[in-house]
Amino acid sequence: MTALLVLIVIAIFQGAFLLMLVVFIGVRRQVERQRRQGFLSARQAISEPLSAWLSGSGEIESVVVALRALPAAAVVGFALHLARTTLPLDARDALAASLRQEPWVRRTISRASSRFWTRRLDAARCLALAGTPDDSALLETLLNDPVPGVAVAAADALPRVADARLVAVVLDRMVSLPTVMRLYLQGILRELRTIVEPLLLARLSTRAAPRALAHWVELAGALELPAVFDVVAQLAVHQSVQVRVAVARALRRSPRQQSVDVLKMMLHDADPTVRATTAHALGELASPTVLPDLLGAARDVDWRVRYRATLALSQLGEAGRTALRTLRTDSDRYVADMAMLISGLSDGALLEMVEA
Amino acid sequence: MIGSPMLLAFFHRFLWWADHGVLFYFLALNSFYAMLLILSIPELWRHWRLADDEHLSRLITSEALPALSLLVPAYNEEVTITASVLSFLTLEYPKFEVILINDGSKDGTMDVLLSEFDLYEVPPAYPRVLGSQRVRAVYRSRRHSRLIVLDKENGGKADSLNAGINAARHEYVVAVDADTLIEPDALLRLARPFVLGTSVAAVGGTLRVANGCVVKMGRVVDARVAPVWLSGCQVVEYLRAFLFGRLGWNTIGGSLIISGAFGLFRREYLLAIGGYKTGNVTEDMDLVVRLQRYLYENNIKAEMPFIPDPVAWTEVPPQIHVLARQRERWHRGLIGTMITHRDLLFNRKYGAMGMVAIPYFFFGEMLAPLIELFGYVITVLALALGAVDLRFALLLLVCAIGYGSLLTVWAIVLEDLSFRRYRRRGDLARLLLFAFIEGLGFRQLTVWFRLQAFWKYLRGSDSWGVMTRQGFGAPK
Repeated sequence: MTALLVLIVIAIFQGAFLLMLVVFIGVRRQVERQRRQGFLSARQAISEPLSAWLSGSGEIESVVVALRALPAAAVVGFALHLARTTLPLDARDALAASLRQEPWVRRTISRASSRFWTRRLDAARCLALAGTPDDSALLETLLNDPVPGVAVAAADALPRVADARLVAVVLDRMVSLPTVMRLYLQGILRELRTIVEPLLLARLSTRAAPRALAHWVELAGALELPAVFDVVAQLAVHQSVQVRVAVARALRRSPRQQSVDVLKMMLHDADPTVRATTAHALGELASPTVLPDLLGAARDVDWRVRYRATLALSQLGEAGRTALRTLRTDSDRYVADMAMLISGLSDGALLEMVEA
Repeated sequence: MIGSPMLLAFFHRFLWWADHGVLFYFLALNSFYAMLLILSIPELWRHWRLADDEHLSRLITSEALPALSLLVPAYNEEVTITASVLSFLTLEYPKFEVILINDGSKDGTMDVLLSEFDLYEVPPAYPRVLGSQRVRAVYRSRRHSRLIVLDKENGGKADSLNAGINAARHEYVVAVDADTLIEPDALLRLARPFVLGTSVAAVGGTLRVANGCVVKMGRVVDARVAPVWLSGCQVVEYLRAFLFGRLGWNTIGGSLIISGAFGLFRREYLLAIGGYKTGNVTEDMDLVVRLQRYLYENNIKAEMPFIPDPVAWTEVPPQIHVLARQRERWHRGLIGTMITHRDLLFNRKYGAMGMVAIPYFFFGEMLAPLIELFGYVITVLALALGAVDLRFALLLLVCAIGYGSLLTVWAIVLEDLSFRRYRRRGDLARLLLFAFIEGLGFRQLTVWFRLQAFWKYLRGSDSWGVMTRQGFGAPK
């Protein structure tokens, strides 16, 4: 009887809980619908003062007031999206300066040390919207946040804060980050080239750890800083393969004879990865003087070097294509096969393979 | 003899213990499900919040993402192959290639590909690290530079995927079925672990049921819940399995399932474990177990997370006999994998996989149909012999079915709170309805199908059976 009673109680609880969940879904849908309608009408209310301000017939204050009317949960994301997609750079700065005085902005930024990561995420997003050099310390905390999503959002605030010390922190930290995050940071640092250049020059030394050095060389290539390329070229004989690969990769962004000469030398490197990357870089630079060197590399013992060199030949215009046709009848079957593959490709396929 | 009071008393005692043993088993199993559900809530919330983040959206559409090779094995897909390939080629992702592997189709699949995509033959200039049936020719497309087609002799799905892994040029490969409908931004979402700095060996996405959905040009344009009992029950079953089952495993670690119809893998690791094993009827689970094993044995700290929001849609069996074949095959594959890797069971050396995941799949999944059948039999016997009160048995059944419904409704709540693919009230009502009726018939059917797997496994069957599909379209 007792067991039966227990089961009855369980069944009643289950039924009640099930009913509660079903009611919850219904109520939640209704609330969500109302919230969405409120958001849409508030967003609609922004477009008029925004157009007036951008055309010079209205004041920025009316945009700020309209933003204030948005629901708290949506305002940061919406303002950020607005700044990124609609506003020119000077208008973005003006909006940032005005928003900085807003209570909701100050409140959100003050949560940068919250124990809830979502609040820290909002703080980081808000700094990307309305950060100033005074926020340097807060931003540093957020850049080191254990939640990667927060750190990514914080990195986006770097151009707004534009602090050399913070950029140095990022340069040192990025060497230990995974590839995707590192490449993303490279994109952000492009906006801070003048700050990055001296910091990078100070780091590009043979004494640096090879892994870090390779990443800084990679950054130098991505930022296309002419003064840094001279230092990068000197690292072509570095003992670390990782560094030499990074040098070859970086120099493809440096269309100068000096870079071509260094790369020609690197085509004879002992390591096949370096040779393959160098062949790729020479193809990108497309200097007609490298034809004999690439023809030699197309007969390399390593298939990756043959592949990259043959692809590079296809980037050298008519002379390269003629050379490819010659290779198709090469006595070495593997050389001829590779030439056959590359010379038979459509332009689109070639482009796609070169980029990969 | 049976009338002997002593024997009857013993039999009563046995029934009582057996009944309580089965009860304890289901209590333990359902508690584990409840734990998975609780663990899945913060995980789901985290992904939902991050999926909505502006910065991550910018990052994942940037050039920083790693290039992917999409591997699409195809066998006799003449009718749908053009729309499928076009839908793959137009996915939103910065850098990827599509490698379609024609697995010796007997219909006109290859002819359709040759003419529709203006293919031209190129020399197979890549090293063949994994063994596979002979690749007859490699083609590229003049119209779509991202498309590569391998025409090979028939060897099955695993064999085709191995040929595709050989030809893949990129660091990561995504295995998809030719008839899987991938949402346009699913690859970008699948790449979130890279963005979050996770070292990744594999990533699993969500599979949802496409039956009843409106499909145009290989895309689900309107998510609907099929009004048919069999398909509808599978909709809630998939929701439950993916939305909280697999998310919960993210926290525990040692997840053993990444669907073969939509999963991302690091190519280097696939090559290291010898690729897919041919001859296994569920090649995806076998691969994941071997991959986890490899990571543990080589002390490689790489995760295999499940991400809830990258969605691919698949057609589920709309007929009972096709469902029977599918479930029987899945369970046979599970038995095979568990038997092959039995040394992992409660093996501390393999961490969460050895101590939690494998025991769960062994006792909670593989043996579940046997124990459930045993439970039904002894309950009927106990009722017949008066060892159990009828009201008690009926109430127990109500509670068991109610608990299953509760878990499913909770999964529907999670879906509605987060990604909400089914927006119509009618679809929501259907989901709730199927959540209640799934336990009445559908569940028992699948138990029967899975029981057949034991018999076939013992007979050494390795057949896949024919999986007939109706094709996608507007709801009927």
